Amino acid sequence: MPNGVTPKIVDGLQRIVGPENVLTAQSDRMVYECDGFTIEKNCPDVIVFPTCTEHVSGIIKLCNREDVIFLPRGAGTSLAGGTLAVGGGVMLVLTRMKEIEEINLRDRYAIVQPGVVNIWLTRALAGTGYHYAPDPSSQGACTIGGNVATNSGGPHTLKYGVTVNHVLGVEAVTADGTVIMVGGPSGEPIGPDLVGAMVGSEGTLAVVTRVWVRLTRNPEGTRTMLAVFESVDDATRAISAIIGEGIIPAALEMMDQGILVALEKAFKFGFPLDAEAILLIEVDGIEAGLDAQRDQITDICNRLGAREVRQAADDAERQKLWKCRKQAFGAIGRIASSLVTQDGVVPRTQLPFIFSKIQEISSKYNIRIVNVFHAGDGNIHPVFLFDERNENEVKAVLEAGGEILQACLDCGGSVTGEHGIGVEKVGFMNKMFTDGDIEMMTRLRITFNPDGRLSPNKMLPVAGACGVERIKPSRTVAM
Amino acid sequence: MTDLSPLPITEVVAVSSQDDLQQLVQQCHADSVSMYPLGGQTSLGFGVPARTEGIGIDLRGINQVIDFPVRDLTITVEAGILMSDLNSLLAAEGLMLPLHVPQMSNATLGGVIATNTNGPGRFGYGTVRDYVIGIRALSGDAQVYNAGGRVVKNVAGYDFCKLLTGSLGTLGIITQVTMKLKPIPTRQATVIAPVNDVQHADRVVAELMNSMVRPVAIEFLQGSEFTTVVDAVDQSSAALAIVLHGTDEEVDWMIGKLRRELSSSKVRDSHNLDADSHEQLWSQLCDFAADDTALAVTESRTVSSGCVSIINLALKQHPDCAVQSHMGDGIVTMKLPEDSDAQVSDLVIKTLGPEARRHHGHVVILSAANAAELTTQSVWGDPSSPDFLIQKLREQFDPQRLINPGRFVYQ
Repeated sequence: MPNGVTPKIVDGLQRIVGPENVLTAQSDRMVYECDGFTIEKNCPDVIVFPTCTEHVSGIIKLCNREDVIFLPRGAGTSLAGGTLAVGGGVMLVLTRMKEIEEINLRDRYAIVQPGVVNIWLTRALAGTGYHYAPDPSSQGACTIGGNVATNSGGPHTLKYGVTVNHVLGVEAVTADGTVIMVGGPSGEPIGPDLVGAMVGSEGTLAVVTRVWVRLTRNPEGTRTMLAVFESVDDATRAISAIIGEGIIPAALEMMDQGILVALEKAFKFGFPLDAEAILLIEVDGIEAGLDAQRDQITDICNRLGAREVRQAADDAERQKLWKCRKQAFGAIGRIASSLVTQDGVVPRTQLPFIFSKIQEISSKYNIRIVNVFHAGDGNIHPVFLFDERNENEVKAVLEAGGEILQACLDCGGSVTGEHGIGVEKVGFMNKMFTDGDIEMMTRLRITFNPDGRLSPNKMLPVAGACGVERIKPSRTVAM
Repeated sequence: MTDLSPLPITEVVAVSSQDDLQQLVQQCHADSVSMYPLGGQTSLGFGVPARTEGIGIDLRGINQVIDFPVRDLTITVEAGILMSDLNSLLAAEGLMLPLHVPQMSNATLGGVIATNTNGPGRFGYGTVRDYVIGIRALSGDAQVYNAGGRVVKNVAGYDFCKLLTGSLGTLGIITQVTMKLKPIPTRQATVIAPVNDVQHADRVVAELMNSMVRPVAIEFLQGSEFTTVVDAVDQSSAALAIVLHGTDEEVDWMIGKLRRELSSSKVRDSHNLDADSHEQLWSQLCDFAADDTALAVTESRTVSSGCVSIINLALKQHPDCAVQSHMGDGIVTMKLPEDSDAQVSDLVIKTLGPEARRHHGHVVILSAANAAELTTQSVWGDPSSPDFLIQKLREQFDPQRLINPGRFVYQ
């Protein structure tokens, strides 16, 4: 068993980063007891805010000397408990490493520190003709370091790819305190793609201290459409028809009636409340091809029974539509006392199947489920509405969630498209992967993190490790 | 039969199923026999000459299509499938895997992934790592392992799809993969922009990077082998070939816009190739690096703005070389003719390597006629990957170091 945090360790941390960058009071530490996954909570023993790579290395070396566990955290928007301090220990909060160090348009990259909030980079790039493509719905709060750790997605990943497709290199500190540099602005290192392996490793391999991200040219034009369907079935068939006919929209999102009602209450956009589903479809690129793509998509939707397909009149309307979409979960808060969302993935052609399965599970457990999907990617987000004071409902929500994820696996999908395994889904790893797969994943972890002091009890089911008891869900907000 | 001589192979065993392969690897592991995985045998000369004798494992028999859900735009295949077979299968459904690698009719998909081989289309379509979404491999101690899956978005577990890309067989033998696919564009075209010199090309590329025209490839060409297709190109003059993909409407618009922009960048006589010449040049662009008559082929990988000084250096030292550069991506491929008097190792270590490092990059030797003069330093330049970690990884994934021993920088 690793040691607890002693006054000597706190003293050592203060000497590395200065007393103003260390928190020990219970009331301060409470803020860090959980992230966006609020079901389980545990306070870290001490919070430390490094402001440079040398700090991170010094802190990690100290933790190793004193045999205490440690883990990194960004803004704490993880939805799977990726930054839950299981077992306490030292938490490195990287939000004070927040410089955008370089923007190089000629060579299309930027260098950012891990605490840079995703949208800051977008803002810094305004007017340059370039942007940073990954746009998780939490982009106003989440940090790029956290995006790297979880390989974040967002609505526009359908055409542009997820975080890993936009990370050229990282500087990181390994579990023994060694600073390594992997990849770089030219994005083409020799040998195994360590950058790719580190992105999405949920803080279990190293602590990222600097990121080289790819910058993407802005599209010349955009067409944003809203297609209204009488039935979810028609809407999901339209999704697979659009992709199947070779059109890759920039974004293709589905929202069902339950979500629309909540959104309408919150934003008064004018959504048709009697429709069973709407698709939010965006194509972008050079102007010359956009109207043709829009017409083709409109035809497909009409052919598959859309009641109406309309185009966002102007940029203001487009912005409002996206605001509705990205704040959908906030809006649901108005119609239920508690909510929990799941993050599964199915092959796109299986969307009709998984939707009817969700409805079946909803009536079986008598739990209301509303849906907002990154449909073009096959990434589903069923949202369970319930009352967390009712123990039976809580139990039903957990079981129903498990059943939906199992259905995703049964049709060839995954239990997480963008939220990660964290602590939430460790139990599913054995369902998705063989013992051999997990054995090799453990070997990868051992390479970077041999003593297991960095982010213990995350991601992989470790034999003999004390798992977190699943007690009760409460409000968790998702992308 | 290809000449296997760059590798000390005592016998070649052809396997026809993943189970057979697992048994074979188990046996080799038990008997501590070294293994050289062989795909299309297009990159045998890549790496330092190996010295440990071992068996060659011909993987081309492991080539079944496992699942091709066309409308999901993914395909799951065994890794020994030939790129050309895969491409015809996909093309029949209007789809493509946009990795435009050399020697399509020999190269296997597994080999392309293991060597992280990419082509001119990388500017518009990305590279191997952007397309592998599921993988199965066999470690040096015969453990079968999987990662990813068959869906386009998935963050469950560590991403071996990425880790194995470029791993050169040192972390396992790739047996099966799931790839993300793209629809074939309805129209493809090439615009040729003759340039005065490399500096001129660099200015054009810098402007092109900010254009609304979105090329799939931006290729700098110099050397007589391009003359048959591109009149403007020979040993003393150069051109850019700018490749456009899209619908008819999009490509027509881009050609018009591009040619206007080129003329304001002082490019005279830009013109587009007819469909046949476009095809011919495209295959030439894809196959440029594969040339067994060359004395050596080197590849410099820097940031885009680094190309100009690398190309200048290359041409200054060896005016007889041919150069192709994916200028938008910072890749410069230099081909030295058979009769060149170049000292390849020196050229890489003393000249090109240091210049590449100034531009955040490095240089590798893709192939050399005289393998004996190759050393770890000359083949690998000065890789930025942390060796100690890769060595440790190797220890975990191939504890006896039986696969491709001694060929690569991390042994």
